[in-house]
Amino acid sequence: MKKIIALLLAVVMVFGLAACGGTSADNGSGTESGTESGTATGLDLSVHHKVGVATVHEGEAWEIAKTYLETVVGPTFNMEFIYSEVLHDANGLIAFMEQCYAAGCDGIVNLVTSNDAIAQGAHKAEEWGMWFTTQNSAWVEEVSTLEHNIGQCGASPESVGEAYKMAFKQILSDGQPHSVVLFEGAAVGGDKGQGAASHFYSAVGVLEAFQETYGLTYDKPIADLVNQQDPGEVNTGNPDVHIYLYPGRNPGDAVTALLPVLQTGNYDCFAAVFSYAAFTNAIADVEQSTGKDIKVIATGQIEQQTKTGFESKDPTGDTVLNGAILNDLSLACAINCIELMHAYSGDVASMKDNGKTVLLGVRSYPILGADVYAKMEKINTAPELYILTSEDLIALAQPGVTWQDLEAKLAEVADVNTLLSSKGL
Amino acid sequence: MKNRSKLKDILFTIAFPVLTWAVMELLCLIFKDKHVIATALDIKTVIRNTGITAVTAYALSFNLKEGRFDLSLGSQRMAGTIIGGLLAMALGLSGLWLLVFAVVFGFIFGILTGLAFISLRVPPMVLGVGMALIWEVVPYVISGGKGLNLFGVEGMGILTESWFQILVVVIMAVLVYILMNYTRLGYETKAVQGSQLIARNSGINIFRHAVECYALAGALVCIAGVLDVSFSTQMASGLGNTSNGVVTANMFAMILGGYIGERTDASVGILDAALTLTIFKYGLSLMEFSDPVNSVVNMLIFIGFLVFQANRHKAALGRARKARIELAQKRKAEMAAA
Repeated sequence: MKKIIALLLAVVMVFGLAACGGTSADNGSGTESGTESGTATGLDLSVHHKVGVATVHEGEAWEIAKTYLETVVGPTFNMEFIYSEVLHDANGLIAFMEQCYAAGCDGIVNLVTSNDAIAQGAHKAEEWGMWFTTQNSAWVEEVSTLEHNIGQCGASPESVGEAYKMAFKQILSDGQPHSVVLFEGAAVGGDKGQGAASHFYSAVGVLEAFQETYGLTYDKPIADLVNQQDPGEVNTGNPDVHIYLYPGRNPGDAVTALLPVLQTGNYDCFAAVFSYAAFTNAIADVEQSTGKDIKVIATGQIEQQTKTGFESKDPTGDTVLNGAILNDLSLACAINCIELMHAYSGDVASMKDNGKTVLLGVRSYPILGADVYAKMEKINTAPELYILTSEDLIALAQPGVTWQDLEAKLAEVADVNTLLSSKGL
Repeated sequence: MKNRSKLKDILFTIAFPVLTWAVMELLCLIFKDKHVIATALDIKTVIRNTGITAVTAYALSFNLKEGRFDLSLGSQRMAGTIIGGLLAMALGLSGLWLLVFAVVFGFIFGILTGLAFISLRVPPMVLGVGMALIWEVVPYVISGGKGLNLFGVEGMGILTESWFQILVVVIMAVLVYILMNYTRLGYETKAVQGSQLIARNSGINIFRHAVECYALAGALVCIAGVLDVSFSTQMASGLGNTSNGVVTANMFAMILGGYIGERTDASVGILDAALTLTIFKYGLSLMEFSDPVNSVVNMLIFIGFLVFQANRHKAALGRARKARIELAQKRKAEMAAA
């Protein structure tokens, strides 16, 4: 009996470990089915391509993006995707790329964001003859001229900053003094490729909104304030306006640390560049204890959680979420795959600017009310309601379409109202 | 005399959180002009964090004190909590049921891990890594990679109530106390801690005992998971052995609790240590150190305590050696005189 149990457990372990690998069943050797750059052969959708997707994401928004890849992008481009586990660094990326190469992938969509990972991944892709495209907000010049490194696409950091600035300017426009606690995530070093550029520019956007509204005189340049490692209050030069910055990647620690700060009653706004829901119970406790409404503006995705935030009420009767800066993972994934299709068609030059990769920015959508979100939430719920539909994908993957055309398309779908009306919402 | 000794033990136990609070209060007042505990919300936070730390440390202690470091405990916590939570939500049940389901699943994952241990006889840490990778996949598949999200879910409020959290932690402390002092499991634990070989030769079924320890650890760690997710609202379903950090972070509480518990009981000691460390960490966050600095300070103190633990008997041993030498010299002198 013991032997049978041991055997069964061994089998379960083996299969479990295999499942963790995230590879497909096909273990054929690596292929180089991608056409070498230089000679465009036209868009051929009959050729099947295997693409490895190295992700740093998990959760509902990522599952929505995967559904888009599986149900729209994959069938349209005749692509099959192999997904990684959540990766954290260059080592994880390289290990995953090795698996993909062994499984016969000819393209990699890389979402691992550190400069180091991007550089190492691009070099490996070059070595193995795999096309490599990255989703990141910061451009990595070091590998920009590598032949197989097609390009980069990510949340436009400046647009995230602009969205935060706009959202806060609207809240601050009532003429009253307001104060904010900002969970700025990996903002530190975000302007130098060390942290998250989108987090950095989000924090810059909030600080600029306060500075311009109240004429604040910070004691340091805004970039220096955001790049401070230690949490603390910013010297605003205005005793009625308080700004508290908390850099950190662990929301659990941040909640514990920020609770006493919020409890002082000095703050009536809260902004989080990610994981805002982790703070909602703490904020509700403070609101209940102080009787003061705290406005929450946070980065989010088009997902159930954002809907719940806009529809739920806090202890003061206001909505839990007052504003959301929405980033759409699906759109960035689509652009990555379009870049891959250009590479497969031998048209990689059109995705580059004088032989160098280009950073294409996906704009953020500032949503400042439940009514707007009620329409926005319908995006990504049906094939025709994705920002880029199957027809868009084919049109943008045609040889001759350039990176400028992709940029123009991204600008076209950047405005919330235009986007909603184009989808009939 | 006995009462005096008991009083000393009680004072020793109370001294840890009180002195920690006093030191942090002083530091916070000097450097930040703040109190460590200023409002009712501070108390609520301390209660919650103490509860999570204590229950996790209890779970760790079942195996670690017998030399089995179960590296899959974090994945059992994640799997039990996410699956229990999803089931409770699917059935439209309250937070109380979430807790019950999580405990049941944690118990099952614990039993299976224990069975794997006694069947495969793989070293516990190696087995733990493998089992963690397996258990992490289960909630990932069931939740479709989304994990557990309690944000905005009705009926979960009870889990964040301070009275409920205190009740849960007190019940756990009493349960651990009874298990360790008045049951066969406690008797066997002490025997195995002494020597597994002697325990086995004296008729203790060490394999059954190991499975029981794994099962209880799995159930307890899921309680900590529920207390945690009820406040943070989310538990991600991570892969790649990412789940264990949150558990091992509580090892200091377990080891410090064992030290304090020498004067009273391990169940009391761990609770006391959890309260002490929670106050310490809360004080550090009030000092506005960054996360990395907080981690460095915590780990330095942890290592310092381990060094103290490893060397604390040296002075007593030195005194005993000195006394032995003096006695021998005295005896030698007496014999020479005779």
